[in-house]
Amino acid sequence: MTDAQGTNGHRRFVPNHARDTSLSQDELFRYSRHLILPEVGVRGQDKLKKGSVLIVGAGGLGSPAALYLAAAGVGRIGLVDFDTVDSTNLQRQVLYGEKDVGRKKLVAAKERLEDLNPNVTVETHDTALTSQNALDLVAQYDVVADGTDNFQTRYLVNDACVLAGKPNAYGSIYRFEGQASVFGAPNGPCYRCLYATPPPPGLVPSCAEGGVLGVLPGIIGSIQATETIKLLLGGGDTLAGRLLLFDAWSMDFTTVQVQRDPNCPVCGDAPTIKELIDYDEFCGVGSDKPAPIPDTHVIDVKTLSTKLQNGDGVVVVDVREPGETEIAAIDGAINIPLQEIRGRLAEIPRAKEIVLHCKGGFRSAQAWHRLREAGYEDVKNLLGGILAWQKEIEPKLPRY
Amino acid sequence: MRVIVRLFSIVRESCGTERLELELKPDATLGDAVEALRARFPEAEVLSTPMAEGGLLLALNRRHARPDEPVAEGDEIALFPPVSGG
Repeated sequence: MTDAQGTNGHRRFVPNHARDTSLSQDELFRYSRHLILPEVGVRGQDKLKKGSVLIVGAGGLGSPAALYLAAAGVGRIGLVDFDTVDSTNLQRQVLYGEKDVGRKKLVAAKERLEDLNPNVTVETHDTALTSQNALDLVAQYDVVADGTDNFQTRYLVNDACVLAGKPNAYGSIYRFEGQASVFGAPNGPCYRCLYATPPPPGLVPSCAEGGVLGVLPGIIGSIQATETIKLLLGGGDTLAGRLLLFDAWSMDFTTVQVQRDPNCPVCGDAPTIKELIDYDEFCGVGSDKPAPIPDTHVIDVKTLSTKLQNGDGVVVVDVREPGETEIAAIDGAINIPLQEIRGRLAEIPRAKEIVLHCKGGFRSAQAWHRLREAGYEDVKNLLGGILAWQKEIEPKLPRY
Repeated sequence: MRVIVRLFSIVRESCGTERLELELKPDATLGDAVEALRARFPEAEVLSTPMAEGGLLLALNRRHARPDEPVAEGDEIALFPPVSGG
């Protein structure tokens, strides 16, 4: 039934359409498990080969998405990232290995993806996605996979996709929980239909602040790759109109029906956003930077060390997460994570000198303002946090 | 009437529970349920404005719903805060 065109011994993997395909003999073998699927077949594989995807962010989500899309034979894969691989990435960013630490992510990613499948073209865009370049970049690809790590870029990717008419295979993660959907499909909702207002800066912790299970982006990024493939094939039921919520800790998938908001400023019936805006401003980036603390209310690690040795009665409050204090802590400090501090004031004596610290000084500066608002008089922020303490006082404490 | 509330990610962490029941007046809306939740957890910053106004995804019986929609006895309400990690 087939015209195998000289593929001795593998005739059954070569359906009728093979003679019309752009797939090479190597590709027919490589993708044979796809070609057997009636939903893909040679025609579908051809669509993947002629298809293209822009993966925004080559991190936890972008890694599995890029690996599976390259393996699947998506012909042109664009990657946007400006970062360098560091060893804290390797717990989840499976595109990279030990030898890549210190290298540009996109250089390492291109190498890995081309090794995985030399039939695909990997285009690297070594830049941040900005309001200036986003529309131009998005327009060059069929599908966008949003694997960024901050709210301002998520709104930017969303708006650029809606304005350019490109579907966005969206994924996002936090600790053990992930979200996935397809935004910007015809008549489908966009990210703004679900989240019209960005959260105040600092309220939703990033992976660096809140931690993340390493395998979680593997699951969510693979879902993004799956949705991308279906969008390119033009088949199956995508997540357009549904938000998938995954909880790895309870191993629970929840799906919520979502719909386009007719009043959405970007994809609604009378859109008011017709070009890209300033997303840092929209998300209030920088406004969470704590107001400066007066010199009289900061303390350096040497002074604190002396006070502790003298038994001056100073109370050290560590506002990091409990997991961080297990790695390294100042002896005798009480641990109250920043997000809990307003509810746990009873544990912080008002009559004593309080010194707040975190890893580097940012969270403790926020805590300082909260304690001052609550009426604390003698409260100081430790300059440089536990990192400075490790550097100058206890060099043997483990770093993270 | 009684409704079930499911809380996700930072809302769950702020409230210290993933599931609870709320007692609401008979003609309550989804927005009233959020208001009742806020009254029960006054320290939860994530339930305060502006989050409660467009910053949280509200679902009623697994369907995205607006705050002015009425709720009924036994309904399941869910609050999904945005997450941004990648």
